[in-house]
Amino acid sequence: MSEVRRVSIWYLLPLYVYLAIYLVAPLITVILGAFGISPLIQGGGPTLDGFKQFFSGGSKYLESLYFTFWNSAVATLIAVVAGYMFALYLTIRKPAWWDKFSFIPLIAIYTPYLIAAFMWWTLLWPRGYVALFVNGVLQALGVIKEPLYLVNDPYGIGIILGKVWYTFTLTFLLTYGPLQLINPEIVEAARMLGASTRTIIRRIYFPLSRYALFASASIVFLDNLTGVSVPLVLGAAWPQYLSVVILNDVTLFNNFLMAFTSGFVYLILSILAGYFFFRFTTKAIVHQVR
Amino acid sequence: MVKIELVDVYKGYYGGKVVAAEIPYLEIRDREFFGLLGPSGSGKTTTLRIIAGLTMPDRGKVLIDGEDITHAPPEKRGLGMVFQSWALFPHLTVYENIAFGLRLKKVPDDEISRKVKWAAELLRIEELLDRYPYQLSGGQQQRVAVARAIVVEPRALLFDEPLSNLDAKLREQVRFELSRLQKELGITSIYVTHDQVEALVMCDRIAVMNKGRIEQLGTPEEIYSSPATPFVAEFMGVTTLIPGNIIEVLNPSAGIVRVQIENSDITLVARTRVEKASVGNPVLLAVRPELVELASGGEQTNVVEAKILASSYLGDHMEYILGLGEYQTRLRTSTSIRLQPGEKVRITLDAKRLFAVPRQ
Amino acid sequence: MKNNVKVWDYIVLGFLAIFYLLPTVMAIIYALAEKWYFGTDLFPSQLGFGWIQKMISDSYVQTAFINSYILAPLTALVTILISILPAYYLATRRDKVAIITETIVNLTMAFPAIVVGTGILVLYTFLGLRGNMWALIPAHMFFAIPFSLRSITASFMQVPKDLEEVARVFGATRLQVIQKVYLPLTWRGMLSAFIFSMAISLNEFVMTQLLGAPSVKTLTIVVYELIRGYAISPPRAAAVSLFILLPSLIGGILSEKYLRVSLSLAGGGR
Repeated sequence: MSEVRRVSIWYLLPLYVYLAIYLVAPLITVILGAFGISPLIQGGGPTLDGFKQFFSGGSKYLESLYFTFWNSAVATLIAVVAGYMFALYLTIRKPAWWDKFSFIPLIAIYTPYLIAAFMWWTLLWPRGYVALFVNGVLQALGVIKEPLYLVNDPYGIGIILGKVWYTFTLTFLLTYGPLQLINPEIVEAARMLGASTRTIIRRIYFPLSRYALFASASIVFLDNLTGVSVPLVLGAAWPQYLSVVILNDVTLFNNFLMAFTSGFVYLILSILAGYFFFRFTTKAIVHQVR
Repeated sequence: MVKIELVDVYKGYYGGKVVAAEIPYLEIRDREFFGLLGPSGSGKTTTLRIIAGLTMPDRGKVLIDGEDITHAPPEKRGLGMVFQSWALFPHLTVYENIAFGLRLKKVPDDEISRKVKWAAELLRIEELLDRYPYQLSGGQQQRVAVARAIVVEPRALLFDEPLSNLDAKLREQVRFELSRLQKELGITSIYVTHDQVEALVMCDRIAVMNKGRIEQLGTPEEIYSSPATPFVAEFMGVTTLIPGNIIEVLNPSAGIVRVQIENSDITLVARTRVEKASVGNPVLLAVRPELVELASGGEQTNVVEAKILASSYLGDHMEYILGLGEYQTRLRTSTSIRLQPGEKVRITLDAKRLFAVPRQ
Repeated sequence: MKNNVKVWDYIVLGFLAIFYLLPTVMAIIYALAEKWYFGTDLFPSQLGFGWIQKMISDSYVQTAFINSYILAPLTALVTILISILPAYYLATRRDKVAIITETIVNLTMAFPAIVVGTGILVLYTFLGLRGNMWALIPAHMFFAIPFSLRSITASFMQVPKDLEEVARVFGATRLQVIQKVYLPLTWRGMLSAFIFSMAISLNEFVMTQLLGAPSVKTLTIVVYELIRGYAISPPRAAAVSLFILLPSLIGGILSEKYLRVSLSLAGGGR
C-alpha cells in the first residue's frame, strides 16, 4: 500500500487536548493536593501531614484501604471464577437455550450501577426476599441462630453481591470470545487421543485462554477497587470503601487534604493494578493471533 | 484383527428432512485402506464422525471386532484421527503434540521419548520436534498430525480429508507416503475425501456416497470401470453420460450388449452389469476421453462420426472437445496430429471398456 | 445419561434467570407497591401506579429526567465526534504513537472516578463551572471515550483500504474520505458506540454528584437521594429508577439484537 502522505499526527489532537484537561490536569491537582499544595486547603503549603494522618496506626483511612482491597479481591475472585466457568460451560456444552436467552446476563451491563445496587438492596435488607430465603434456610439447618445481615454489613457481603452481579457478566464476555476462537477440531483431536472433559479444560481451553482470563481479572479487580455507587448504597456506615471515604471528605467534611491524600494512594494502587491489566491484555492479543 | 462394522446407522437433521447418513450395513476389513468418497454433503464426514464417536447416530450400531461401541465416548474408543485442519495444539511443541496421547495414558517419560522418536522418524519430522505448529509449513503440520495419531497405536485410523489444505504437488507426494505408511503399519484405515484420484490411488476399497447413502462399494477398478449408478459414473473421471437402450444382448455371461443411442441411429457395443443385460433396459453410456481414439480405418465396432468443437495444446498432448450429436466428450491425441475446429472426424470407442450404466 | 445432563442445562438457565431477572423484577414491584407493610407482609397489599404517577408529576423529578436525557445523547454525540479523527489515525497508521495512544486511553479506565472527579472539582471551582450542566458533558465523557474509541477504531479498521485509495485518486481530501467513505460504512460501530456512551452517561453518578452539586440533578442523583439522603423512600426510588432502567434495558435489547454491541466491545463476536 503506497503511503505518499501519512496521516497527520494532528488528528490525535482532540483526544490529547481532552486528556490534558480532564485527565492530566485533575490528576496533577490531586497529586499536588496530597502534599498540601492546593487553594482548597486552608493554610495550604507543602506538607506531609496528609500522609502522616493516612498511615498512622489505627487510622480510619488505613482501615478503609484494607477493607477496600480485600473486599474487592473477594468479589473479583468470585466473579472471575464463576464467569470463566460459565464461559467454559457455554463453549463445551453449547446448551440449546443460549440462543434465545443470551440476553439475560447482559441485563447487568445495561443496568446503571446505582440502580443495580438499589435493586440488590431491596433483596438483601432484612425483609428482602433473598435475605429471608438465605436466613430461613440457614436457620432451618441450624447453621446460625440469629439472622445474618446481608447488606449494610461489616463484611461487605452486600457489596460483593452487588459487584459480582455486574462483573460476572463482564468476565464471561471477555473470556467467551477467545474461547470461541479456539479451533473446535483441536478439542476433538484431544478427545480422540483419550482426553476427558476435565483434561481438555486443563490442557487445551485454559492454556489457550488464560491471558484473556488474567486480563479480565485485572479489569474486574480495577472496576471493583475504584467503584463508588455500589459500596455507597450497599455498604455499612463502617468499614467503608476508600472511594466513599473520599466522597464524604469532599462533600460532607470539606476535608480536602485527606481527600487528596487518599486520592493519591488510590491512584498508586490502581496504576499498579492497571499495569498488570496492560501486560496481560497485550499478551492475550499476541497469543490469540497465533 | 480390527474389523469395523456399521449396522442400520441413520443420522438425520430437521426432523428427517435432511438425511446426513443412512447405511444399512458397512464392513471395513482388517488392515484395509478404506475410502469414503463423495461430494460435500454426501455423508462421508458424518459417517466418519459416527465411527469416531464425535457424532451420535439417531439409530444403529457401530461395532469394532464385534464390540458395540455406539454409545462409547470418543476418548474411550481407541481410534486415531487426522483432521482436515490437522488441529495441532498451538501452545505445544511438536514433541508435546505427538506425546499428548501418551501422556494421558500415563506412559513413563523414557518410553514416551522412544515412541515419539519412532513416530517422528516414520513421518520424517525428527528435526522439527522442538518447533511450534505456527513455525511449520502445511505439509509438515500434516505429518505431525499423522504422527500424533499413530504414536498411541490406535485400533484403527480415521482420516478426514487431511490433504485438502495442501497444494496439488504436495498432495501427490503425500498420497504415496500415506498409503505406504498404512501398508507398513498394517492399521485398518478409513479415509474420507472428495478427490476421486486420491481415493483411486490410495484405497483398497471405496464406498462412493451421495446424499447420505452408499451408491457403490467396490475396488477402485470396479468403481471406475463398472459404475453402478449414473452418479458414480459421473463422479469418477471426466464422463459424458449418453442415454440409450439395450437392443441386443451379444454375450449374456459377460454382459456385452448393443446399445442404441436415444433419438439416433447410432448403436454402440458396450459392457453392462450381467444381471441388467436384457433387451429394452434403459442405460447411460459412460463415455470417457480414454476410450476415444481416432479411427485408423481397421476397426469394425463403435466407429462414429464426430465434429471437433475446440482444440487445446497441453504441451505433451492435444486435447479436443468433440461433439457427438448433441453430446460432448474429449479426444486426446499426440501433438503431431493437429485437427481444426469444425473438422469432421471418425472416432472409435473402445468396446471392451465402454460401460453402460443401468438407468433407474 | 443424556437426559441427566440436559437437566443441568436447565438448572443453570434457571439460576441465571433468577440471578439476573429477580433484581429487575424487584424494581418494578417496589415501584408498583402502593401499600406494602414490610414488617408483616411478604408481598405488597396493593399494587398500582400511584408512586409512578407521583414521581412523574413531581417537578423535581421532571427536571432531573430532562437533565439526564439531555446529557446522555449530548455526551454520546460529543464522545463520538471527538473519537472520529483519532480513530481514523489509529485505524490507518499503526505506529508507536498509535499504540501509546491506545494504551493511554485504555489506562484511563484504571483511574478511580472519585479521584479524577475530585481533581476536576478543583478545576471547576476555579473556573466557576460547578453546578453547570453543560460542563458535566466532558466529565461524563471520561468513561465513554475508551469504549467509543475502541469501537470506532475497530469499525474503521474493517473498511477496505482500496476504497480510500480510490476516493483519493478521485481527488478527495482525507477529511472528505472520512466523511464520505468511513462514516457511512461504519454506522453500525458508531451506533454501538453511541448507545454505549449514552448508557454510561445515564449511569453516571460520581461526577454528577461532585460537579453538579448543588443545582444539577440527574435521575441517578435523585434515586440516590431517595435511598440514602434525608427523605428515604424506597418506593419513590424504585419509581424513579424505572425512568432510567426501562429505557436502558430496552436500548440494550435492541442494540444487542441488531448490533451485538457487548460482544463487539469485548472483542469476541461470533
